[in-house]
Amino acid sequence: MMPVDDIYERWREARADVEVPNGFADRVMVAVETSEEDARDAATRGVLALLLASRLARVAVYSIAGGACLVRIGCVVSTFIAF
Amino acid sequence: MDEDSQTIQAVLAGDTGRFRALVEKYQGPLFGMARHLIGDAGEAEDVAQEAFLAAYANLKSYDPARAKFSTWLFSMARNRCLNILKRKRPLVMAAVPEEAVADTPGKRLDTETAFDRLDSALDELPLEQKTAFVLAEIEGLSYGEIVVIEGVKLGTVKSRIARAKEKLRDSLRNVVEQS
Repeated sequence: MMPVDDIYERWREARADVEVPNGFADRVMVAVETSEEDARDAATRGVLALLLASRLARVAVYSIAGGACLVRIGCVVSTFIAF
Repeated sequence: MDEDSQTIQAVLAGDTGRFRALVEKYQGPLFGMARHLIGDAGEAEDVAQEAFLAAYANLKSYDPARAKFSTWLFSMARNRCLNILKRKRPLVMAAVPEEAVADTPGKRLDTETAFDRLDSALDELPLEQKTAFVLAEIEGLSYGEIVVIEGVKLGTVKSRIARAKEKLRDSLRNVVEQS
């Protein structure tokens, strides 16, 4: 008959030897990389949202866009005007 | 600076891939602890993964002066395990139930039966005893680390472990004597 202490120790050692599921570390690192990308996307969206939340910022953005548009139109028209 | 702290510094400096070294180092004991506390391998894997992700997300706030990285990591995983267990069953369990003698008189106790009995007895332990026992006796953590993880005094940790071991041995002794 096996002594209790012997069985207990063998059981304890057996239970300490747990096999980690295959690819566990890979799955964790994929999740880590995904969380990094999500954080970068969120930061970009945050900056844009911050900019566009300000009326002054929106006016500035629209003015720059309008000015760029006028410059571009001027460049196109100038090609047809003879000097 | 120890190896883990050096790895953490590298990760914080932008070398995300270095975090893998921490995952590979602690995946075994972390998954083992979750597996023994929760019982379900799938849920245990989820808990372990969530603990690593939480550690990564909060790496900037990790203070090595307060606790080792492993202790911090185990704390997060242990709390997740307890949340799952609390949803599944009452926090305080009754004493380990006595099983009826179903074996043939004179039949010798085999290892598998003894191990099954100990597994059942472990599962029936009160949560506090079970977690302390698993951390100390199966995962091999020091009492000092368990004190930090559990958030209780050293005497309480020792008491919980001693009671858990006594219950497990008594459970096994009953089966051995009846065989």
